[in-house]
Amino acid sequence: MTFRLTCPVCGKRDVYEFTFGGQERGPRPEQDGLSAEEHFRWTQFRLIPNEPQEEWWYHGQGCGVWFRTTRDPGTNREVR
Amino acid sequence: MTPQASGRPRAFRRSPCSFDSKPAETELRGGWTVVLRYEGEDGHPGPRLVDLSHRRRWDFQDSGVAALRPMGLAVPERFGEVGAHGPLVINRMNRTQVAIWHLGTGPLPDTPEETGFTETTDGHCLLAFVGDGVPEVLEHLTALDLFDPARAAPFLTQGPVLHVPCQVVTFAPDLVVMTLARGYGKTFAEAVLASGAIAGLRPGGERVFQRAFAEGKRFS
Repeated sequence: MTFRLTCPVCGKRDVYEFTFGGQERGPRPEQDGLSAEEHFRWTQFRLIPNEPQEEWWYHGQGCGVWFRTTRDPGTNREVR
Repeated sequence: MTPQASGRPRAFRRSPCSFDSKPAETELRGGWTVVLRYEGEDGHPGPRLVDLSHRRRWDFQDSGVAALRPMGLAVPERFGEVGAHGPLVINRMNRTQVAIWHLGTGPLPDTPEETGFTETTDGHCLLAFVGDGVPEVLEHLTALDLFDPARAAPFLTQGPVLHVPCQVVTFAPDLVVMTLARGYGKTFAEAVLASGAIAGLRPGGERVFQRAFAEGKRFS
């Protein structure tokens, strides 16, 4: 299985050049009044949606930049 | 004992890769033994693999790199562009970083005092592919398009060659130079020579690279 991702520096490259950095989780929640469950959900809990999601990727075999892209895990295609 | 203690200068820096071919002419330069020519090299049109690891290189980083002139060089505007300025080339790697290589025979600058500079000469291996048949050798080693006719030479490509992250500068179809982390150097060179044997790849001395670089192939 392979697909391509678009690095903002190098352009379209094979996914094997990249390391997955996880879903975009949004900003860290305010610490004041944060319950243990809310903290757990932000740090650990991940949805596995069958729809496009925003993700972090690292181009370790190329230019070494972190970037965000929107990808559909159902098709493995980037969504623009 | 220091290298000079015996009264005669000795090499005290080691290239990360070595070739089995017998050197015909060598020179001691900056603590490196530089092979200028190998035996049986004359008359071979190429391709040749040249070890240039002794050539000085720097990395320069700054959040506003586009507006600066490291070592007095204009920073290329777009990622992947390369500027050639006499003996120096400057590669725009990303938003914040450029690499500067001293490839020609002109004056060798000192490392500037600015904090953004790191000399990377001893941390990397620098190899050049020179002569006829270079594309045939490289197409066996990487899926990267190093000869994209839509890009104006010289240009930079960052990506895996033999699964090793490399910075590759294409000057012309018969002149390609790449850096990789020093630790890969020995096995990388062995694998490249083994793979390239079918296309006639042989080790070359520095002189063949100097000739190609000086001929201005980078502007073709």
